[in-house]
Amino acid sequence: MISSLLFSDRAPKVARKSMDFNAQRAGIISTNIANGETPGYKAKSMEFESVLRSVSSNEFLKIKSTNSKHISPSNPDFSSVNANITTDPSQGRIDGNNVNLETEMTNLAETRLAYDAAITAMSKRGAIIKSAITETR
Amino acid sequence: MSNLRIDSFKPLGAQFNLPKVNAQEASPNSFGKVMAESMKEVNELQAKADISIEELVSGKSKNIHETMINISKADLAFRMTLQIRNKAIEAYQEIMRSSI
Repeated sequence: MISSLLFSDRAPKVARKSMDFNAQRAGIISTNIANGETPGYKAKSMEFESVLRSVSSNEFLKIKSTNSKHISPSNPDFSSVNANITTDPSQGRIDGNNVNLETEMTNLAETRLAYDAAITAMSKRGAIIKSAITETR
Repeated sequence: MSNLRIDSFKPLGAQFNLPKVNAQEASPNSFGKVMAESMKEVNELQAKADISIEELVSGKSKNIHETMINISKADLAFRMTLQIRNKAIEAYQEIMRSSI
């Protein structure tokens, strides 16, 4: 009852999954940076935006309930969504390592920004709900 | 002494020519209607904020500021409606408490 009332919206679920993925991506980028001098190491990258987008847009194609007595379509379960992790196969340097430190640093900054933005957006959204509950005077 | 007589009370409305208010017939722009419309608008703003959050976190848009503006709009609209409701209820309670 409480969870269907408060935690069933789609936006927080998508945001949560996005934050999960961003944290995972930060880990992957850190691994790349840490292995910047490892001979034969191939840089990994992660793509989750398109997966997230396709899952959340599928919702719009779902059946609509025409009667209030019908069971409304539930929001998609984002826990089963997985990101694509790819390894860059290029040769790169002479020792077989293809980590580009500049690119990795830029990606790390971008990931951090996306993560922070999602957190800020969610806490602002939470503040609205909180003020509805507490009737702040 | 005839000019010292006290008249019976007359309704103030007749004296000041106040418009008669009929509680039964609601004017097209009644408070209730305005309130209901604002509620609808608040709801729309919140739905819009949710959509822009989704678009931001799924990488559909890179517009962080637009998302934050939409959330702030939803927040402000909601808080203002809440306060107007609070004031209206306060006024009602004040009237209910007053002794006649």
